[in-house]
Amino acid sequence: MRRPSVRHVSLIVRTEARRRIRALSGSPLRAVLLLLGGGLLVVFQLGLAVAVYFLADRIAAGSTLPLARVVAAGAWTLFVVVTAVSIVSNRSSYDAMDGLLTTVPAADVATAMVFTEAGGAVLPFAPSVVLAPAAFGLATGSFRAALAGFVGLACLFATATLTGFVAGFAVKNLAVRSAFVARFRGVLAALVFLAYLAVITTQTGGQVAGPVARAVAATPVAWFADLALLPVAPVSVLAGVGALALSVCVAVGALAVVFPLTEALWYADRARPAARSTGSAATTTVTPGAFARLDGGPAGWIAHKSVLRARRAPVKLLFLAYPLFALVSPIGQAVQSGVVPALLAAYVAVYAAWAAGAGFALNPLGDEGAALPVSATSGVRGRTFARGHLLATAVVGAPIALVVTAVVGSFSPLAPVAVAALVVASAGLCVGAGGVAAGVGSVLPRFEAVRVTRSRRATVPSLLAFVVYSVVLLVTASPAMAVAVPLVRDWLAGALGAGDTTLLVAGTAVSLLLVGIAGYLGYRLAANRFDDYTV
Amino acid sequence: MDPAIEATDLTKRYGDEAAVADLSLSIPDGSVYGFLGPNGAGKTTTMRMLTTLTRPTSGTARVAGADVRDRPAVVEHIGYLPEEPPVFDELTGREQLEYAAGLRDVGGDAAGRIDELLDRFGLSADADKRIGAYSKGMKQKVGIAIAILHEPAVLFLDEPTSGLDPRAARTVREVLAELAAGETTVFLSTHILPVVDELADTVGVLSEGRLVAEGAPDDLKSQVAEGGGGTLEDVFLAVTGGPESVESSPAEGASVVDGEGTAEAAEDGGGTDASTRERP
Repeated sequence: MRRPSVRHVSLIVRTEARRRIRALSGSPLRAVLLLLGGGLLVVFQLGLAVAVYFLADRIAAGSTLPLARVVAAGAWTLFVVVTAVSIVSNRSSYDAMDGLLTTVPAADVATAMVFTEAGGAVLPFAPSVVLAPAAFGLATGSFRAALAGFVGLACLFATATLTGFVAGFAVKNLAVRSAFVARFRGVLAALVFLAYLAVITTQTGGQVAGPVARAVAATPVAWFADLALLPVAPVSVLAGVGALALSVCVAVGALAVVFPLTEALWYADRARPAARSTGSAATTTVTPGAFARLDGGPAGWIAHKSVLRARRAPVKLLFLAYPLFALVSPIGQAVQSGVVPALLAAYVAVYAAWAAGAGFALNPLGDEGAALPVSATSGVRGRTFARGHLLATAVVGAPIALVVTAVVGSFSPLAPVAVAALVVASAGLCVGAGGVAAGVGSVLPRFEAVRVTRSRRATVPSLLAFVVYSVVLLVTASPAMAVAVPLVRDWLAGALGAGDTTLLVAGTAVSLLLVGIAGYLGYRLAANRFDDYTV
Repeated sequence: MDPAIEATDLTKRYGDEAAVADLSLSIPDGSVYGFLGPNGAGKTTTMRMLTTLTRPTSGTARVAGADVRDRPAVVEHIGYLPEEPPVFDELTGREQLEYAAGLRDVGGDAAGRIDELLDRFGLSADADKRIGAYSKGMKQKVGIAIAILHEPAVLFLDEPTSGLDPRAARTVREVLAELAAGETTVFLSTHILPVVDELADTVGVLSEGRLVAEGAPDDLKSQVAEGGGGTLEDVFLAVTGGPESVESSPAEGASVVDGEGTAEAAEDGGGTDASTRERP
């Protein structure tokens, strides 16, 4: 095989780096978040270097060697997984790949990608590779200790990146050839996300990662700790030398397989999911499915279309899961205590309504995509268009909100009357949420697709619409939520001299009134925006 | 009888820049109007103004007798195929047409009409597969079917044969010819000149926002090659600043406007129909 061209590789890496930096400059919010995250990471690594400086004596004495081996194994595994996931999810090709592969040899592209990924993975941790060994050398007064520490960490990061790179391409090769993966890609992604959520909510990350790190520590990977401490600590010289040999083996092995693996992926005949049919009899109908009974006209069709599209492309609704992260703590408490907190029941009631509105109505114009000009000139009036979105929200959302709130509420310490009030509030909020979402989303639409996962793009609501809609719905829901929580209700009862039932009814009624007004205003706004839509 | 499409001094400005300037058209009922122009000439902006999607800065336009500022009145009469097929990847071809029929409140035998169009465009076998799995040409065919499903009086088509194989393109041309043979007026924007040559009764060429030539295809062609043999491509290149220049006198029934907007009209008495009107 021809050796990769240094000039080509360098040019591709520099161009990719420039593109990523420019992409950041085009997204100030992302750049700020990245700077904040990077800043925290640097501070953390500075702290680590300081800790190494003060613990240098104990480290040199060898008393922390077993721990150092587990930490080295854990860090190595983490890097392998992060790199492999990155490759599998998104980084297995550059943009405009066809152009690259028809311009330079695939080996040049593969080599460039190794450097790009290595740079991306190692750069954030570069301070540790330099600062921790420097601190260790300074504390022990040994330049050789610093050098060995640097070599040990550099070997650890390099082998982990190469292993992750190869593992990622191997998995990706299998995935793109698997008809099963092609067919159930969305479901598999959802399962992985749920597993991740389960680990977070149950706070069992340590229980999962600990055994893995200990298992890897029993392999030669742990020798990187021996290599890093070789000149000063009572470690195994054989293990230290073994770590160097392991690094060479990994590098040679990776080089041997990375080119065939990358080429195999880039020139693969990918498995394609069989074109999915409706599964129904091939007859043409002119009624909008389940909505025909409620509205057989254009509004029914708009609702029918919205539900069909959401059901068949659930990835567009991924953003609905974001507020679930706020449930991490209460769900963890509920799992540990076996009791559903009252606040969680109230939160679920509002979340169900919020999700229904956000899922079906928060970007009514942008969600039309290329069909918007035709929809706008179809003769459908704005009120009909808005009503269609309300219909989808209410018909799909209200029953789900009702059932979920009732089930969660019944497991909470709330009195039956409080649960009933929450159920009514949730269903009512669902209906109003459609109008609020349609109004906010029409004023603050998003027409361009954004990346929703590393490999999927979709037109989702704008961030501002997301925030404004959430705030409006929370404000309208707050009276019902407040009276549902016993602590707040007791305080109100004391202050106002009203009974529990009175407060529950009043709070729910106020919320329904507020969401009714906001929903109607939103509905009118959405209708006007659709009627006045121009480009 | 009122023209199907009539525009007078129609102008769209974005800041100081005129995307379309002083455009005047008069397109009779049941005719096919081929709308040509280089990229960025203002064709899509014109089409958007005529379909109510963009508000004119000045001037007036009426489609099927309705003012283009009155959307409900206009859209009742039109079908529109934008440059990008107006389809949802998550729906099947049949569902997409059912949806379009539902929005348009297509009465009568809507199901039969959908089946007929699916069959006509060779989509019946794939009608129950999701559009996401369709080729570009298949999506385009669904888009055309949507545009003509409700049998509009005026049909606006932006590059209808884009992405179509020769057989499908032939089907589209036949469908358009049938529509025009009836009472449908077709406003056809395309870069595929043979399509215009075959179908259009009148051709208008837009350049830098201005109509620089208009007339029957044969009349325009005769201007660029005295004695015959000219093509629409020659006309296009000549009037949009290409290597050819129109030196011969305009043929009867055609008009060419110079770069300053001055008309050189056929010496036929300066008629007022679409093919002979002078422009300022």
